[in-house]
Amino acid sequence: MNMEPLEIYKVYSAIESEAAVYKTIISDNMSDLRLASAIGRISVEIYPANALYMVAAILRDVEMPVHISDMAGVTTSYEGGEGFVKITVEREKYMPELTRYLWEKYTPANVVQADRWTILIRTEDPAKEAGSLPSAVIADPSQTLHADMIEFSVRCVPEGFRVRYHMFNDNEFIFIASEDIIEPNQLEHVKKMMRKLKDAKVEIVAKKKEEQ
Amino acid sequence: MGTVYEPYVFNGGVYKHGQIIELLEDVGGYLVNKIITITEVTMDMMIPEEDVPLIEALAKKHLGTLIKSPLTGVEIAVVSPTLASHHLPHSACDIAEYLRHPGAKTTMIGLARGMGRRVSLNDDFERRLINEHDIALYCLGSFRDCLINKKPRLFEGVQVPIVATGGPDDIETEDMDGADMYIGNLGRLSHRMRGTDEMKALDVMNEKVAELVEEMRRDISRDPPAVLPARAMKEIENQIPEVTKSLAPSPLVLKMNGVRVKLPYDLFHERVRNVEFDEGPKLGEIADITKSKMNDYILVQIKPKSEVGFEI
Repeated sequence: MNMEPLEIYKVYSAIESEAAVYKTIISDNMSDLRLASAIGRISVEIYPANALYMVAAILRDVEMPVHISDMAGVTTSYEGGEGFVKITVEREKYMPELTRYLWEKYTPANVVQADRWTILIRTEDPAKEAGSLPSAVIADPSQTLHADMIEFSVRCVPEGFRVRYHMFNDNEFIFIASEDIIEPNQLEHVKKMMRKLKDAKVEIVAKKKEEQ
Repeated sequence: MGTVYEPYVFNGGVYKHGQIIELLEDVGGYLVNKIITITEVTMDMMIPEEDVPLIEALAKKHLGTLIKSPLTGVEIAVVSPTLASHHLPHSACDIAEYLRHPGAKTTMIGLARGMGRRVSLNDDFERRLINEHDIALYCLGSFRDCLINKKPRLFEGVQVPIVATGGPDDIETEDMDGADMYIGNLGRLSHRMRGTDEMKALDVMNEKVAELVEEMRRDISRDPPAVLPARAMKEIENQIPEVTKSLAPSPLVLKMNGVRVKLPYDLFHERVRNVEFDEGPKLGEIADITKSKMNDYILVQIKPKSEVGFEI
């Protein structure tokens, strides 16, 4: 699903002013964890009297797996009578992951970091390795995103709601927290929230905002 | 009715500030705290209500300012239901910091089992610790239902005046069972309180707490402590010089009816008991000197005049 960041962002509580206050708490935590651009649609419902907190969110497909070709150029070079695979780093963000990958594959002794932007790899067949390396996956930000979503939910949940349940299904995330045992009908309710989120028409929400 | 003392803070130059101290002592006031920073001096003082204009005039003559600091000499327990990120550092720390502006000494207390609705409670140690303070200020959350129906359980066993703060601004004090005052617009937050509305809410809080303190001071003046706590504090400082070597941030904390001395109880309580006043009595005769629940400090609670039979 192609979505804008936070195209749907709803917080419901029985008392309207409390929902508004809670929206600021959720927004603060979202910006602390830099999740605003990763979440497409989110719906939160809070029932303080029943000690129940529910979240349904759909994540955007922005974080794709990172290949070496996304962050560096791979060529071969011949230096000091020896052939190398030469990696020229363009974006440093995933440098630790790249180094870890290369160390595991070629052992640290064969990975020479010539300078900040250049890595030379000593191998038997540099041309073959240079051909296969660019497509290697070195990091998957969606894994971090999942961890961040859980951190986000735990930070936002009202204090003391220690019975928690969460579920990831591709880019769909549901979270429910309570003080008591979570009932099947409550779980069904949060799934219904998710179905509503998926079926919602964004244009209608935008129009409603304009009317307000 | 005894003398009513007003707390003030003087800010001005070091030059001739001794004259202000002399006048203060002449009119029967007490210097609570003096901090000299290069050429500036800040002095917290307790001045007899009717003599304030005299000191004010002298302060003006020395080009200094005399500002009322209504919470000087008040120790407030800022209680949050837990030490979790839901309450700390925002908004409980902001509240505690703001209470210090008008002179209060604050202690942050996070309850061990205060979280949630059904399970929240306080334990005996926490109640005793809170009761050592002059006021207990509870930093509560944003949900009306929790505030009215569940959280008042945390007030049980607390005998000092209770101020509750929370998010909703339409709750009356009477709705909260056990609270002496409710202050709204101060609920749960995940950011530093610096918006206009937030600062305004903190200002309102300080005003309301000051009103409560004013009322408490007038009540106390009907049956005042046998010795003014500020005087007891001064005598302890003079007669036990080790107190100045205590590593605690404020080694002597002035309370409304006593003093907290931040020295080990076992080593110093006898000496505190033997602190003598010019009129004859020793501190141990007119005050209860007990081991504080806060570390092993010494808590001096001065008995009222009606119990001791005289006032010095």
